[in-house]
Amino acid sequence: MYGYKQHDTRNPFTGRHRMLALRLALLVLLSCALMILDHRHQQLDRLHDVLSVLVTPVRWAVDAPTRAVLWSRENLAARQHLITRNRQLREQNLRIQGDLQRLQALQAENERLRELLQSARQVDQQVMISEILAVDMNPYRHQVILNRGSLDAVYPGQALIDAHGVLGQVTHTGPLQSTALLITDPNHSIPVEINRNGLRTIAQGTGNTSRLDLPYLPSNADVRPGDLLVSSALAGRFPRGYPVGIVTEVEVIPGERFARVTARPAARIDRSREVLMVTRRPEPVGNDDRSTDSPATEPAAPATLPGEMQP
Amino acid sequence: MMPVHRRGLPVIWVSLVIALALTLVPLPDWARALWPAWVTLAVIYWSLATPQSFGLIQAWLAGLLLDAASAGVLGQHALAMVLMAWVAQRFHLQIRPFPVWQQALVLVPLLAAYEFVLYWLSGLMGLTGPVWAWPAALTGALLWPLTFTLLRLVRQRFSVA
Repeated sequence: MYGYKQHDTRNPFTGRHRMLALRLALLVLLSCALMILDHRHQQLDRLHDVLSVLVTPVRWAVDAPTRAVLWSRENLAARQHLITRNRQLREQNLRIQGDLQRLQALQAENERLRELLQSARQVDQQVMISEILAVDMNPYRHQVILNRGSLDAVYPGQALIDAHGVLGQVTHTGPLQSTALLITDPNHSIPVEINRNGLRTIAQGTGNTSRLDLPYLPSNADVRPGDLLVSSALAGRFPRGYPVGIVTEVEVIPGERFARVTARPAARIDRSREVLMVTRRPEPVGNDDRSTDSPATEPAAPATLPGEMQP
Repeated sequence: MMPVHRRGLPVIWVSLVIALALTLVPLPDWARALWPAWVTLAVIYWSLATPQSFGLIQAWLAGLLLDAASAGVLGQHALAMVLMAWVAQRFHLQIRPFPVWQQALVLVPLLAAYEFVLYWLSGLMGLTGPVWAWPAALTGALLWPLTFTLLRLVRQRFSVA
């Protein structure tokens, strides 16, 4: 069928097979070395950069149909639909503007109070809009590809939010695209505090897009279903005060030291396309003025990078 | 190795990149479990059909590209891919004379093993929650006749030796 050459079938097979096996062994060893370097030590930034540039056009090509559908939906929408949508957005805008006025007053008041207390100011934050590419990823990880990279001043560790809450953080940056780990990834943890009483803890991803676990809350902790979890600046990675999730279930098991607390992420993990990347200006040490007053959370286990293992 | 053998390489790589794009197509969760490993199918085809020009190193590079594209740990798909390519090249004289449907049968355990290696490596690296995607091996084998026919057309059209 393939017209392979006759001399192939005569004799020198053992030698060829041995060559093949040798090559296989070398490549397997090389793969193992790469995996160990990448997973344990994260030392392959250059290789990641090169490969990221190579796969960038492929990702664009895969994303193109989704982009085309969105584009045509925007451009071929009926006039009546646009008018209604416009009116809705204007109303929403008015409401948000109203809220914002109050917020500005509150912010000014907050800053005055902070000055009185002589504590650190809240840092200024800049945001950049970016898009999640419609590209399928490793099903074992909750990761997304963003259409901005180091050329747009994206940096590893940058926080990612959508209109409703914290989504995740950037883990790798290529020149034009970057990879972000979502807060629902099983290897991701984010420091949070309960908005009602400032109790600080850590929310871990579960691999389920609608669930976060809070494994480090003691059985007698003051937490109830419905409590809003906001990001805390404890790890120095996430900006403070963005919604992370809402507590859905608190189960106290008699005899156990920790309660079983789960939360639902505030962000629309699997539905957002446009997201905001929050840039923090460089700041002096000690960004969280309350970081010394309570031993409730252990200092370890801040937002973990993908390579680190769970306990 | 004769330079004639190298002439088909661009064609092979174009087919691999198309397979890579197919792998990245966004899908609902239920379909993703069934979505075959396209790059592996292409790698197995070229390893069977043209083992002289498509070597293990290139299979490994294809796996590495897949690692980068799926933002996984570098080396994971590369390792699984090079194992598949080795099996295909080691036994290409035995597998090639089979009719296509029998080749598909051979591919079932091969693709299942590929998915198992990925699953096992994920577990080894402490990723919780992975599942062994063996249904993808079945769909991959079912789609083998199609892949085989298409790639053979490509191979004959561009006379890749």
